[in-house]
Amino acid sequence: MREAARRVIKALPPEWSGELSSPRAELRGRNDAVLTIRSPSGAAATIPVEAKRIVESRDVAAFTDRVSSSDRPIRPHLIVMARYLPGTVRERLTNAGLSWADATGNIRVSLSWPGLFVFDRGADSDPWRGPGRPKGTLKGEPAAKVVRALVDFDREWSMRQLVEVSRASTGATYRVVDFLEEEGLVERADGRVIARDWLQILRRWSVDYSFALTNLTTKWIAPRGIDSVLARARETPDLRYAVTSTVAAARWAPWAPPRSAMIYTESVSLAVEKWGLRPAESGANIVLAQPKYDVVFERSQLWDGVRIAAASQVAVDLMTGPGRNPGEAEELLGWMSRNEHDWRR
Amino acid sequence: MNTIGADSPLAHEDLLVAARSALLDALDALEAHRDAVIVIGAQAIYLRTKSSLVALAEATKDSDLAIDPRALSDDPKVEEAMRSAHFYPNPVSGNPGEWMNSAGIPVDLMVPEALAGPGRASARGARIPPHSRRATRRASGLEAALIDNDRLEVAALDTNDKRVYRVRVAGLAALLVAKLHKLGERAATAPRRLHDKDAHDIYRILVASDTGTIAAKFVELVSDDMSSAATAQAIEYLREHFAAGAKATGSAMAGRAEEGVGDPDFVSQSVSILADELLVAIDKLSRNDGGYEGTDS
Repeated sequence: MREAARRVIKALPPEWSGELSSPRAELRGRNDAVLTIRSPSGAAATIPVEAKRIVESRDVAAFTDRVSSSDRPIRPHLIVMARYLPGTVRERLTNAGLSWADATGNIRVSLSWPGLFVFDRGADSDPWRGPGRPKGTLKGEPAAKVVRALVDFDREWSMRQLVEVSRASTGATYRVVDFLEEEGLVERADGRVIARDWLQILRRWSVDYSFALTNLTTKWIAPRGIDSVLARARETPDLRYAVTSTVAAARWAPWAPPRSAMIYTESVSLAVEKWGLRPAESGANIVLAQPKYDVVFERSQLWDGVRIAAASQVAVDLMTGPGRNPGEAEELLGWMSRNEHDWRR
Repeated sequence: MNTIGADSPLAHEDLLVAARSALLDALDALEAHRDAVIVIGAQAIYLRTKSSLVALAEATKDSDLAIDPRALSDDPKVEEAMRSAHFYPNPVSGNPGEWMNSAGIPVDLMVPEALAGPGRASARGARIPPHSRRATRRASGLEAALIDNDRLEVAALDTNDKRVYRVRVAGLAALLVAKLHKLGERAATAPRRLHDKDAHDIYRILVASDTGTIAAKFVELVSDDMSSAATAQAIEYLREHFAAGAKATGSAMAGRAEEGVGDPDFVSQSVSILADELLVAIDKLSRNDGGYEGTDS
């Protein structure tokens, strides 16, 4: 807190001054300290400081509550200080109208009286987090399983149900839910887990999952075009596969005609043989992915006889795909938002 | 007189409509010879490949008709029939067999070389008396169309034009042989007259056809005296200009035709793969039949 306050004071405009001190009696017990800022004309603002070693996204709501529940005639301000504030947390604090500062020099102080705005950038990653302590992520199979379950079903979960449906282990399910809660992406109440904002969960997952990087992909050419492969896929129901990306997205939100088809399959060699694919030196129109996790096949569906991946899987594959894919992802996500009942069970 | 050239601002669709209309005009004119007339060229290719999805739009202003002199009666004379239907010889090229309808849309009447009668190598008009030697043009590679064809209904593309004729249309194998001759001969003698679109038409045919079916037809054409030489030559053109790889003349041309509208790399690779598949299938069938044997097994 002291270092963060020192940085704020240092960042003030010339002639301005600041001081960190213990809170007065009426604020004592509720706040860790107060920061007093004086303008050159002598006008002073006393801002309560909320200091924590680590601030997570989910904490922001509590700060906002504290400010808005006040019955004082002038709404008190609040400055949140921490050793390091991650970008997502800074964004949430800003959106909540709060000031913030961390010990690396990330600062945003906004006062209406005396009028003041100070903004500065510090570190973009936590310098105190050693390499041996990886940040929580949504990498890995359990995260994929839990995320897909939370997104695909619209319900309040008990942990037991979530373990059962996602088919992740109990320990892993807890870890993933803890992480999502820290990120403010799920709520927990009375032992239930609720994922209201499936869209943000998918976006967060796309940071750690990608069709091309997570899975083993190979490029092929189907000389008679994508439709010829889909026709053959209809005739090979015994082959485990799921079409994703542009071709599958057309089921819900048709975009431009696809230049290439991306298909998950358990057996690349069998698919190549059954679907008449040739290795592509260039001009590939088929990308086969041997999935790292089986979850890509979960809740897939038959569309006109062709097996396509679930909408949530298709969306994340497009978000992280090449060329026009991200644009197509937005189109699909738009459809998914407008038609939640059509795909979310 | 309205003349529609390649640079005309007329939209592709309008050009297709006008070309189909000219084709029907010619079929009208040659009604008495209907059994001797076979639709070939781009119009036949589009009639046969409706279902194949390729990026390049169909576009042609030409109508090509093969004439089988064996089925041609003496009366009416071909040139008289054409003139009385308001066709006139192409005034620009001056080539025999090149006609235009009243709207200036070209219609070519061609006789397969093997049946075009005597004539020096430089002779262009077919010698099929009593018809004028300026009525039709001799052309190599069309022999297969006399064997591989069946009747299709050909309708106008203009909704106000209710004409529908049931006429002989060349099959995919014959169309492939003809296109390969056009491309192969120009590659050898007049590379500047090569058109990327001709190679793309070959890609269109290969995408639309089932390899096994078209290979069987090729074997049949090779074993028929009339079309044997032309088909064997076409197979060599296919090997040299397409199956040899994505960078071979024909494969590269087919890809180039899609520049800006499709995926040139994909087309070049695909046409080469499909050509290779066809050659392998022909070789396999020939060995079983004891017929044609390719040089590359």
